[in-house]
Amino acid sequence: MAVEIEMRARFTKEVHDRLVTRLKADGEDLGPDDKHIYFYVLPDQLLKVTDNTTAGTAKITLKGSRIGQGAAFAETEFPIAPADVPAAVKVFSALGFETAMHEAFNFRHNFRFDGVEIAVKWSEAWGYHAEFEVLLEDGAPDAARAEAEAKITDVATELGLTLMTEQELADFTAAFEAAEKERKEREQQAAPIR
Amino acid sequence: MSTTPLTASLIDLAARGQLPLHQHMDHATVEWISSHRPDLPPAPRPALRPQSKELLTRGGLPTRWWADPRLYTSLHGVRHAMRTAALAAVLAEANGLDDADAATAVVAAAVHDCQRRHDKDDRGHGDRAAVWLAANADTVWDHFGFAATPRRIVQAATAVRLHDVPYGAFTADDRADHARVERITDVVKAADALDRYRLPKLKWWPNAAYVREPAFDQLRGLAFDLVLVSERAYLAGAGGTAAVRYALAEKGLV
Repeated sequence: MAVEIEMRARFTKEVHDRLVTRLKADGEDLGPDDKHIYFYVLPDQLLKVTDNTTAGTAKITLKGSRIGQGAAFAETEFPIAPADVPAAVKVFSALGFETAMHEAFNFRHNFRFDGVEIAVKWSEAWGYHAEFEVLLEDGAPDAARAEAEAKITDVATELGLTLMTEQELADFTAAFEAAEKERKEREQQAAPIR
Repeated sequence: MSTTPLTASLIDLAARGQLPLHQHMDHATVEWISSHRPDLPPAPRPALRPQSKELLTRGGLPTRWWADPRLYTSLHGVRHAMRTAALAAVLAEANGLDDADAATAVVAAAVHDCQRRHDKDDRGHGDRAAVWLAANADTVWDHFGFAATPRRIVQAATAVRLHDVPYGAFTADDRADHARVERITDVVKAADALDRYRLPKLKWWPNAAYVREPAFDQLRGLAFDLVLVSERAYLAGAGGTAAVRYALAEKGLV
């Protein structure tokens, strides 16, 4: 099981435009990579069915912790056919995870800058944001994890971005989940259309 | 009239006079729109008041509001509704509408086509939508986080009823109604007209002669970009709501 060191930053449209200009000039442009993602937010894990709409592929991913519970994510994933995405969603929903499911389309463009993979994204919940990632081998020592986090922090600073703290990430995702819950309840309680 | 699913692009079908009842965007038509961008001045980046931003970022408009669910994703579906609502918010700023009138214009713009039966010349759909809005006022205003007051309902329903009636065809009753809700009605009609860049024939694109809006020409660039960005996003796989919200973010509106 590989380990991803992931860190995130949110920013305005103006900062987004400056960031993309800088990454196109000084980084490696890995191209667009839009995704439609079905998230199952479980108590201590995150299960995802991802339709890589730009790449024309799909996958199922289980992450060993949720956003806001540390930067290191143990990850297991396997490919599925894009045509099987609806069936995968149906299976997980039928297993009782439906109430924990959110779906989102991510407009995404990937770059590599100074050894760090940077996905510049927009989604309805997060707005403009970036995910910084360094992939480590299974069993990487704590020192390697700390080094990867330091590397990402340096790159973010170089790009003029402030990374979200674990507390900010936890607060943000908790607020999103609460708003989603309220929205679903409001929809269920809405008066019938006449 | 045919309800046969599309086998050709909207531009081809429009050129042959064979557009179906339900018209769904396609890649060829979006690229045709892109290649026919008029010589427009750079789109201004209007600043919306916080209330309008909040209205535009409220939950997506429910499918069940549409009389025919097939229209939710068509040319008169949720993407058109959301862009029209956004353009109404921009026009509300340009015309100095107060908060109450701006919110009423946005709500009216969001639902103005929801009772269409098809994407062709559906006479009376404004009238039907106005009746629907009055009947479902609590649901609609609650969705946007407001209370449905009699004044708001009458104003919005009037604008919705008159949105598909040309000014030159107004009856005496229409003129009397328009006089009572003039600014909101004019904003909704102009916002609806600005979103015509999505239509697959140049002669159907926005024409200032059919509206009463001094800022109309200044907003053509913004309207064109909102169509192009959101329709491309939709065809890339985003849902209708996400596609338009992305376009609004790209244009700095939310």
